Amino acid sequence: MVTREVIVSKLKEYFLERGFEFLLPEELKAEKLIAEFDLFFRDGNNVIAVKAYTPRDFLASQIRKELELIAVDILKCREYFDKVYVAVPESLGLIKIPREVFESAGIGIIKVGEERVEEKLPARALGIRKALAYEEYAQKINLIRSELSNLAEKMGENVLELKNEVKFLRQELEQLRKSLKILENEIRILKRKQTDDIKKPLQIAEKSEEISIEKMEGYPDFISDNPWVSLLAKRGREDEA
Amino acid sequence: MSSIEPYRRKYAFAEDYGTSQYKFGPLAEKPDVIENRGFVISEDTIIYKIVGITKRIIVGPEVSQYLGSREDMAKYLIYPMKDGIVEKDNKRAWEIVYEITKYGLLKFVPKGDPKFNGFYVTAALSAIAPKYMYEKIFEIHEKIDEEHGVVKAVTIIPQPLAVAIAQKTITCIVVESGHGNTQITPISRYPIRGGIISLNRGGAEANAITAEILKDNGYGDLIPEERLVRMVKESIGLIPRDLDKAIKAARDDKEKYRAVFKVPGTTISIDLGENSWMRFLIGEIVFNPEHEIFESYYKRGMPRPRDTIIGDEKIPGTITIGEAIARSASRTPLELQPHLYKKIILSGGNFAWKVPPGFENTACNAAEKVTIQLADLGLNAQVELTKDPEFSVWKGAIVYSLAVPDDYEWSWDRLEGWYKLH
Repeated sequence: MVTREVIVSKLKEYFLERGFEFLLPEELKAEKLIAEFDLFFRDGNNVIAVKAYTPRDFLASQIRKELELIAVDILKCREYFDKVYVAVPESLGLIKIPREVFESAGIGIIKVGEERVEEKLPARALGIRKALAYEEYAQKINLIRSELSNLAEKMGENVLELKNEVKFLRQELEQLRKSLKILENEIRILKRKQTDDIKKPLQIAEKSEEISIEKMEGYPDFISDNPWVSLLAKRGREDEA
Repeated sequence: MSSIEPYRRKYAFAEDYGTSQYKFGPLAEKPDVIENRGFVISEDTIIYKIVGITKRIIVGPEVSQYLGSREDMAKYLIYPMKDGIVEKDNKRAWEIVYEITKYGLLKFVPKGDPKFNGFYVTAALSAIAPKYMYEKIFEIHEKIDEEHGVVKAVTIIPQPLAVAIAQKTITCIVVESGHGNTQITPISRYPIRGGIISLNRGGAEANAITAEILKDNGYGDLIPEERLVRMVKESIGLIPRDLDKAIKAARDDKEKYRAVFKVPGTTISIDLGENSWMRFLIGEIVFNPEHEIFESYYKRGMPRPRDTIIGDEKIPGTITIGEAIARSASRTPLELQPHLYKKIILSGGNFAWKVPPGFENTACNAAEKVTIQLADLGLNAQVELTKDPEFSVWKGAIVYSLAVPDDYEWSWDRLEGWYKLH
């Protein structure tokens, strides 16, 4: 029967050949369990633990009992690993291995001999470690989401404030433009008025020649007897009245 | 006692900005008229290079001298107004409006009169002209005054108000129909703006159906000449009292209703022959584009008059004139409505339809047609044409220029008053 050391050495070779990454015990966050297992590997996101078993007794019942206990111990620490294997000597007959226990627990069985290493039962992903990791990540994500939401709310308030300010400024600018236009117009009128002053005497003289509507001769037909003429002449005065 | 000072009498000036024509001038029996269009001289043209013309835009009678091929007309001859409106950001169009206005004012600047200090100008625009048009027209006059000192004060009035003034009627509904659109405005001392209804149709629709009729009768090569189409419309177009009955009468007596038009100064003669009944479509479409007979023309691509939205009410583009008048009146105070129906005034070149002698049973004039349509709605109305449909807007604007006092200043709330420039 192969020794424990040989089993561990062959296992290491076996997993490395398959592209698994070898992990040192210090890299795992499960210091107290390091003693329970012999090898640790990483395959992608999965952390794999391997325990080498060499029977102390040759009695089948004793071996089965020991392996059952190993399965129970492994289940206690399933939150730390994604997959677990138990490696047994090749010479150990399958009759002595409680296959149904290992199968239902998802623990894999590898047989190790001098010439070969063979996976007899594939390990199933235990799921707990990832679930716990996911929960941790989910909590972190929720925290980030909450912070982002607060930030977005604050930014939204700032943007609204800025929009209101811009709107107010636009209104002020429009008012200023209108006032400026009125001022420009008044300046223009004042400037022209200065040059009109000379003509004042003439205009006063003209006032005496104003023609009353009642005596509108020489006007086209559409003006004579037109009620709009007197109505329009009172535009502005009717408001005052 | 109201009075008009001599200065105002001499220098009152009016401008009627119509879609196809610009009418202008100081106090007189009638205005001067030019086409509301400009010919834009491209610097690439040979004319520009050889003749060395300095102005870019030609307006007035001179335009016809620059018209060459039909391609030139399409590319360089621009009518700035559509349905009485100039697009806000159409720089070229506003340049043409500026040139036309300047042309009109400078034509009448008195020479050698030291007392002249600028005209009192009343400009008449569409009843639905937006505020930016008012602003632009004021700016244009301001600019011309800065350059030439010819405008003392300017104001703008809606064209229907001008018509009411020319007709000497203080309370009425004015239906003003020109080339591009028809405006229905109730008036009682002031325009009742809440009752204004604008229809996106006018003489252009009659032109369009005339073009279709010419096409159907083998004269399709003539239709690019808009002026010719208008001449045919005015010559052979008739308003039917009842379209179906008129068509039957025309089919029964083809010789009596035969439509023949000889284009003056040419050898071109248009004869509709057996299809002369189509002449009644020309008049009918102005008053009732909803008639089922026009459906086939719309399906063929003739533009259907567009709907108008006024407030939250949609006015169908093909509503009859009679129904549109009724809708307008219904938006005024109830006790005013009977007074409005007592005087409905039709104005604009689009209502200038004649009834040839002997056709009185089948054809009618515009006033009779509207009366018939209103009677069908149960409304007893007095409808009359302006005595001078072509110039009534200008005449009303001249009265406004003469009468409104100097100190009645422009208000953007009232949209009335003098915008004084100096």
